[in-house]
Amino acid sequence: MVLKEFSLDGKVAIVTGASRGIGKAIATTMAEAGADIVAAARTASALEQTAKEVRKFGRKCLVVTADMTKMEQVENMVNKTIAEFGKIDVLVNNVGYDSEAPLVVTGEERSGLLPGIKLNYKDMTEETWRTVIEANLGATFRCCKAVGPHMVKQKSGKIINIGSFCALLYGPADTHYGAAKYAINRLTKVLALEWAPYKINVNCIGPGSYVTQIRYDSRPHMTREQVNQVLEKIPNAVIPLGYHGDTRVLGLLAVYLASPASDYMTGQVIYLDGGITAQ
Amino acid sequence: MILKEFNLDGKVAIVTGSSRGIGKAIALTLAEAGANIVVAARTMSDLQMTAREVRYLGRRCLIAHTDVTKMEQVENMVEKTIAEFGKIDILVNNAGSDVESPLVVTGLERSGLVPELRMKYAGDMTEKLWRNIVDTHLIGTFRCCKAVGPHMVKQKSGKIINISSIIGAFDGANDLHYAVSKAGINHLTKVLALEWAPFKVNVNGIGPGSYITAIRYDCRPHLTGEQVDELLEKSLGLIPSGRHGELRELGLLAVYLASPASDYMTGQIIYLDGGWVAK
Repeated sequence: MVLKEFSLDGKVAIVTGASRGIGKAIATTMAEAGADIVAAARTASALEQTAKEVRKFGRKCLVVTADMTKMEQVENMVNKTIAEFGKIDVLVNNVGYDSEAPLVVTGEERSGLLPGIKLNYKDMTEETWRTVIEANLGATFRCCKAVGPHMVKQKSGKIINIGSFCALLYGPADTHYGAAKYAINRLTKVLALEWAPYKINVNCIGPGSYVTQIRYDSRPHMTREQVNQVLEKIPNAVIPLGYHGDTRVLGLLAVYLASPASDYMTGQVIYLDGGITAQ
Repeated sequence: MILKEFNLDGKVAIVTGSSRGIGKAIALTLAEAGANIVVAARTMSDLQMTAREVRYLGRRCLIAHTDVTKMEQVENMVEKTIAEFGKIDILVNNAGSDVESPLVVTGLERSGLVPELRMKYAGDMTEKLWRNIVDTHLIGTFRCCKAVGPHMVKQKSGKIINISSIIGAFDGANDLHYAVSKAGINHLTKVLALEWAPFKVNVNGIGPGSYITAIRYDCRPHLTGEQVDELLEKSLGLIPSGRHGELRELGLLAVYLASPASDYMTGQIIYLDGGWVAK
């Protein structure tokens, strides 16, 4: 018996970065739970697969191309959503980007998990710093700012920010990404307080280790094979439950946070990470 | 459309302190989601009422008359459960009580909920009162985990849900024993999550905010019922969401934590408090 409060029937959800990985899993799981989806990312072609899977559940899917580092494109995404659906019930701020780099390359950097691997990093440039902050934290800010007025007017809404276990883990080559994700935790709490009087819930999911494209894209200094070697080591070395997560479980937590079941929850950062941050 | 992973069909759950309040609501919601329930508490008449309501939902209910401050009674509760159901899937450590008291009465104490209100406490917190509250909450949780743990470890599966409180995270003035017990329960949750992760036993906690249950009155013998009513009404101004929680909402979060949907979550304390702890 599954309880009615977990249903998303009739809801409209914007999911940014919905073309693949975590964003795609959240979009399709929410669709399965009953929501119509606005799938947003930078390339339309990549979004088509997500749209296809959403529509297979009998739900509508509006595909919107948008670069969340550009405010007009974010506003355009919101306008299109209102034009199509008349409301926004749920916003999932999932778009993200990472590119590992030490602040200053010394030439002696080695992989922590596989000390045999020498890491040929490039210095962190100001551009890399800015892009990581803008694509994670800035994008969350922009989408909340564009969607907020609608939710305030509706006196209802659910915002789900995607953080990361990296917010709480301190390791080399991560002055930027972990900082941006930690800042998202803080933004979550502040917005929760600003918008509580309007019955808007703002919460954050902190994923642990999932095998998605970003794990490769964030390591331009490693070959694909080297990344695979690192990913293979991680479960036993780092994850108490001993395995990488399946992105569906993130979709299920997002459904809980998007549903009426969680109406009294706001300002929470919940890690779904097999126990990594409990250590 | 409600997703199958939120279903508790076939599960067996022990809920301590399920004679009334939060424990009763959790027991009933777990039952509604499909679980068979073992209700455990000290007051037989109240337990029978809860059992009746569980059975009315079409689920089985075993009554275990249990004082969690007594290890033999806790072990007995577990043995009866195994005898009746053959397994334990879920343990909800909820049993608890409270009596507010400053450690040393100064005569200047004010209500944490309504700072203008002066409180006239009867006397210092005695060692007996300290021990009593710590024994029920923290050591009670320890006893139940210790008795149930071996079964879950052998099964290589299980879900433990510890009921904490926002008072375990902040404030707690004139409630030292309760605050420290709940903070202790938070840490116990993380440590056990790590100990039992290799056996796929998930250990998480729920931190309720403000709910209207008997404990809110029972913990204030220095106030009349009417004074507590007024205090609870005035305290709404401190809660970002502007309302007390509904007990069912705690039940729904417990269903999530008890269900396959949360298999990758362990060591987490999730506050369901209308944003209070985010302040």
